[in-house]
Amino acid sequence: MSKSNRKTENSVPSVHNHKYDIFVVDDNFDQANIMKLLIEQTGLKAKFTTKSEIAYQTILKDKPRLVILDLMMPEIDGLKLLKKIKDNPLTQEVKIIIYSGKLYDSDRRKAFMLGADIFLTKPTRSHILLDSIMSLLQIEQHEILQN
Amino acid sequence: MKSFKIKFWGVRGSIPTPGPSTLKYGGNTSCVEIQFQDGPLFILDAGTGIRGLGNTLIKKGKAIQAYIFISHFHWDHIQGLPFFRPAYDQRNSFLIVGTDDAAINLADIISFQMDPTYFPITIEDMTADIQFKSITEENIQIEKVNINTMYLNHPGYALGFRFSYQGKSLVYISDNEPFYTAETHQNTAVKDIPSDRPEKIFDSFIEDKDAKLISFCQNADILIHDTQFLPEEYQNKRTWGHSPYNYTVDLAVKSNVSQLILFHHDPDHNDEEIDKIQRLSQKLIKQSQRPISCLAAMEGMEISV
Repeated sequence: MSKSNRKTENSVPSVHNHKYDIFVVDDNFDQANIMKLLIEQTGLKAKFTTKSEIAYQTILKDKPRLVILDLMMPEIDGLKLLKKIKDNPLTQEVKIIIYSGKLYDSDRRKAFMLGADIFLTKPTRSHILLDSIMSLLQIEQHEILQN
Repeated sequence: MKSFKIKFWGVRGSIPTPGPSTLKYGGNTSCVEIQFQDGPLFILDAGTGIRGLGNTLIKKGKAIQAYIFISHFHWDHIQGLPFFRPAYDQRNSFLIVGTDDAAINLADIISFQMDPTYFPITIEDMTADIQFKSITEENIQIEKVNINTMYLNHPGYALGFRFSYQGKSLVYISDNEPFYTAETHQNTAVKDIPSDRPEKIFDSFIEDKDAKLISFCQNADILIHDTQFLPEEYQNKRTWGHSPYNYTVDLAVKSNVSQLILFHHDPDHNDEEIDKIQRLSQKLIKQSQRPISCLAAMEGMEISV
């Protein structure tokens, strides 16, 4: 199956024109960059920023299908960014994976309360992150392997 | 000439612990006063210790202006504020500095604990001029004091503070747990994947937050740090958000600080157990051959730098 076919058949229905599939927001450049490279191996398009203060405007403009958010970031922390995304009707459909070094249940509960879809604690295995992405974007595993 | 003087008004973690077994170190929760020479008055956290500080400030008979830094909003860091009598005097002014919550702003966090359900006096009854400043992980300047902040490993958002003034520095890290490190990471990455493949790099990647913390504390004159547990206690209390003494000492050694103050004592530790933690910490420092003085914080203790 070609990449374009896959997207036609499996993309989450949306009125928006996504410039790319996944936006990574993490203040650690190396972490953000390796996530982008990992995701792009699957055929999905990804972009990242280390600057949380510009992340919201980028999400508003580009409307990615899924955002991967770190929590402990300068300028705007991940939970505030999550709330802004979920409070705005223009962005509230965006799927959210929290990927943070925080391992506390209270942080997990808070993130879910604010609208996160999946909470992963750093470090995790690459297949867990990719499985989470595919699950949220409703893409089947065999389709990844064909890319 | 000394650059600043600090005094401990509350050194206990989690919950006040009055009683005969805590007379030496004290049972009040977190509160530390910093008086900068020819500079401002800072108050670090508003645990129950702030009540005694407030009463002492009132006795001086002068209008009080102070900056109150709240590391985070767990009870033991704010529960003394309703009993801080200077807040009920219109001659006084305070700036409360802390990080707010995604869903609740800083002023509301403070005022909610004074909702009539929980307390008969509301924040509106505080007649002093009280302002709020929301901060995140950043660098700010208050009067001539430079302040760096850093997110700590603790449930919710908790900040560590580094205060620098006249070439001297104090780091205050009341609640913090060891970050997840390469040493504790069980790397189960698939072995037969080439090392330059993204999945291999991702599986092996550890964000070194400890290195960031060491840099944050580097060469501080005083490090006040969470030392709630013995290592054997910590084994069963991971994810409680607090540190065993060996981690705290290791941080002090790696950061090359001059003085380490063991802080946020466990409510289940009596004076003898805190003596023991102090003794064991001093022994570890001696083994490191670094000239770091080390004391367990106790109520009323004063240090000048």
